[in-house]
Amino acid sequence: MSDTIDAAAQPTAKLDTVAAPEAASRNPHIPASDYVRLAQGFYFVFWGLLVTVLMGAQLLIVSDIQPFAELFLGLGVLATAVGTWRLYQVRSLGEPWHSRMRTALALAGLMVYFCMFVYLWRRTPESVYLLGNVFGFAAVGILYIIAFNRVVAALAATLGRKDMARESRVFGTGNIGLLLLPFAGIVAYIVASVVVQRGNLLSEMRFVLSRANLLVIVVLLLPFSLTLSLAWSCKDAVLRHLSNLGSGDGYDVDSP
Amino acid sequence: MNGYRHRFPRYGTVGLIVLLLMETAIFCSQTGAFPEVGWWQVTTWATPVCWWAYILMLDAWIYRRKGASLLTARRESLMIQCILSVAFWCVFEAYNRVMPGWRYIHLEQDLSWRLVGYAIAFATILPAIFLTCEFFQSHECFERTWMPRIRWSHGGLVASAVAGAVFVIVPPFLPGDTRGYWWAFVWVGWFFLLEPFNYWRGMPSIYRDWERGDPSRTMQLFGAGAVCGLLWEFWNMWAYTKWVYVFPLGQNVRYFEMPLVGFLGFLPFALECFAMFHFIASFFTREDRLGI
Repeated sequence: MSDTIDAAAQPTAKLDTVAAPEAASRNPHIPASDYVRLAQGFYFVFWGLLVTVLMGAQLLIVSDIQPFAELFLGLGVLATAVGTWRLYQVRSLGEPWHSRMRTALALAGLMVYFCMFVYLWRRTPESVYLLGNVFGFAAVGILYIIAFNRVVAALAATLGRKDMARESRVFGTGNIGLLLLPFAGIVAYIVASVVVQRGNLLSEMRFVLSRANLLVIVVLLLPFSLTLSLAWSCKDAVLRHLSNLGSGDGYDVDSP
Repeated sequence: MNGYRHRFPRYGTVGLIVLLLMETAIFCSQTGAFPEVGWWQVTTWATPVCWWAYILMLDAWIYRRKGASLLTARRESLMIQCILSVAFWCVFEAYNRVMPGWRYIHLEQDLSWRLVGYAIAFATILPAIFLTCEFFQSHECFERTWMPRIRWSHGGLVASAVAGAVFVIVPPFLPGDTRGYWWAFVWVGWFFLLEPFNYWRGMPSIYRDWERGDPSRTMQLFGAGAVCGLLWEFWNMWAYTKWVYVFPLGQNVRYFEMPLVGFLGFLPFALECFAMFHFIASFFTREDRLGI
């Protein structure tokens, strides 16, 4: 018994008769253990990103949060990093997947790195140095979301899931349009205000935050939620493949 | 055989000359010689210049001894060390904002130049420590030391990681006026936190050395921390742009600007740098990038 499966014989061929043979020709063998890594990875990334986004938004806006509650941000970021690392360990999906995962892993590591600055900034909110690093955390988080969409696109291509590939492209573009560009604009506005008008960085940031109403928050959180839904559907797709392996549905496999 | 089989590279000589020129500038600024020359403009850059000169000299010396060195054979590793060095020190600078331990004086007014100065100076920390350690290793210092073997249980490693996490997380959460007393925990915390992961992941690990009853690398890193600590304070003392210590312990007994008790922090700091470097490296490569 082999612990690998032949991708050419996967049910993806039934789902999409065009993409699967193409994918199979590029990645003929996907070990069952890689499916487990994929499922775990997407599960951790989903919950990690969810907690990170919720706690990150809370910490930015609410000032009197208990230190215990603050720890959830670190847990969320760590879960995201662990999930990304599990996905990075999957080596059988070809070079596009691996290079994109390398980028995502580096960004997840940077999120863990900058997360420490968020805690320290909460202790000393008047420090411009720490605030700059908090902006770094936000920027890396947004870049991670975009990189994650590219990872999903690579997986979707391998699995022959055209719908998922299309979603990942649309959501990735949405992330750039609705998150990255506004964020860059806000940072540019704050920096320009501080440099040109000799304003105070903290007061400028508070001014920007005070302008945020419910509609703006919903629009900003929309790309996150779309990406999270993508992570969940990826996990489901992978689990479906995994359950097919377990049922012996045309696969030669002996280990999960 | 005297152990020196290779030519001393030219960049080592350049480093020596640059260091001597900077020392001359520092001497002149302190003695008031040639007052028409604005020596302070030169000694503003004393720290990064002296440290890069030190790195060039030491690397050349190691090359002469071994025939291979960081600058001649492992330039990629030097780049990684410089980048991680800046990143790691930025974390300690962040701690410093919350629990003041030192502050800088006479900083460059222009923010762009100041950032360049920070980057060039911070980038020297890891290369300086690791090269000094490699220097000791190339001279086989501490090679014959031994210690009782330590058998690491899973529980012991988990306890180390938990203790390390407590050491690095808790101090900034303490009441503001007491935080300065907890720097010692930050200096050892990252080592205790990350070393178990290096051990588990099969990376170069101090804990694994201790398990083999071989403390030579530990001693060499301690030596590197001590040498670099002395030089940090020595070159800082008469520089125009410099740091002064404000943490609340042992301010009355000092060597150069540093309270004497603070010197103890340099020893675990070298171990901490070793653990942090390999922890990050372990996610991208299984190769031993340091070779120490």
